[in-house]
Amino acid sequence: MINQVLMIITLISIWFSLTMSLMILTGAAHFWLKNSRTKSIVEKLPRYPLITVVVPAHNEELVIAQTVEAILNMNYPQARVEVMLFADNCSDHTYEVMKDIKQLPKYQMRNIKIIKRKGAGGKAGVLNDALKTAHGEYIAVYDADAMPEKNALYFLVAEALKDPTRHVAAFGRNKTRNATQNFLTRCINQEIVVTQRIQHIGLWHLFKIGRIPGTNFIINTEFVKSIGGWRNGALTEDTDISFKIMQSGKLIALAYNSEAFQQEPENLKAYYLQRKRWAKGNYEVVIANFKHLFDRSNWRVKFETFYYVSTFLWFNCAIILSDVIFFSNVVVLSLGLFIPNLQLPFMFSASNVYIAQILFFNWGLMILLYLLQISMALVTQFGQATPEQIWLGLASYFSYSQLFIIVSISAVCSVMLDRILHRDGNVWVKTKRFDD
Amino acid sequence: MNLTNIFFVLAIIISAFFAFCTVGFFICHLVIYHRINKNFKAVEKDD
Repeated sequence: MINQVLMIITLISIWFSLTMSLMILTGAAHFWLKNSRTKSIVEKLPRYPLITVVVPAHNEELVIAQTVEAILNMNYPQARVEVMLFADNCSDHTYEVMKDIKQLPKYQMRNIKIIKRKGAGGKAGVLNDALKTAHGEYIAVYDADAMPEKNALYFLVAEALKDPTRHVAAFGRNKTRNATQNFLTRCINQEIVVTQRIQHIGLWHLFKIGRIPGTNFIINTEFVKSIGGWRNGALTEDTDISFKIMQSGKLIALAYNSEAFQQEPENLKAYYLQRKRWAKGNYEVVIANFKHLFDRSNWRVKFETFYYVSTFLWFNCAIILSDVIFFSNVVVLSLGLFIPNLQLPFMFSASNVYIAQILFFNWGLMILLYLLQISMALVTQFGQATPEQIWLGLASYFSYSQLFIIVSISAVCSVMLDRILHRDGNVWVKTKRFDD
Repeated sequence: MNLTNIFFVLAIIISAFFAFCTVGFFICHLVIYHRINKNFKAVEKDD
């Protein structure tokens, strides 16, 4: 009986998570049905606010040159762009590379400041330092590995100017620039396309909920000052500030046409460290905001907190439990080849023989919906929807997707140890770069 | 009606719902694919 109840709870949890995904997929499908007819047009903006582009860089000599050049060549009036390049606690040649670019004749007239920084606080510390001296009406943030596309800043500003009072921030998307490097980067590319073309789009279209990513976004300078800036040492300063913005009742607008090209981890170790940091940061934000589920906070904060709690705690537990059920049965079935009359630990009573067939059909449907979600995300990007991507999606369902379980268990343990041992996360945490 | 049978009915309803969604999303997927290919061709003439 207990086994049956456990199986039912697990299945209902997974069905609920799937229903949430379907809701967001519906929003995204509606958005793309509306917007796939029209071409993006770059028209003159009503005004061009001064933008301070901040690039926090910590030992980024491999990628910084390309990024800075892409920023300096964006389609935005040059006189309306102030660039602040931070070489933060660098032990390589990041600072020298930045200086070399600034000295190029074609950039002599550009407003570029290069700051050698020795302070603490990690990326959030850099952003807070930039906040003190920035002259721009908006601060734009690009990570050292995020090469913006020519119109990236234009689309962000256009989205913010649609409703300057409410849209205090605008964010774009990041494409994987090393997507074809290996199996891991191909899987990451699919995951990122789905996150940005389905999840972000669906949440924005249905609920006007946006999430500031680590890079390719703008935020109103005075507004950031009014909420006390970024939280120094936050593992995911982006999620942290997103909650602050929603709490204030303002919106983080999605500029879906604004694109930057970002390098993703090319090996399992770099992937594991990056995702563990993200998961830890998200857990910290969930813990900090959990109380808002029950107080009089903004409904978007409640929704986001519920979403994060469900994804990182509830659904994760359900997936782990379902894996335990599956593997226990597989082990007992295998042992049954040698030891007769062994009883499966998890099974429904034999009174209804159709239930196994229904659940098997259900499992097939879930995989189909998973592939459909990937496919729908990919068709929104010209040239990405190929048969190979479907096979890759199927392979990643059984391999890459399962890595999330390991990452989240490890992150939970790490968060608990941080609390018990009073460990400080106030150090630079960055993803390893690759010289492609 | 025992627990297994109640769950069986629930599973039938949910499965039918998911199957309906799958068909619906597949149609949306085809429409979006067609539109994106029409509107965002990399070259004007590829014949």
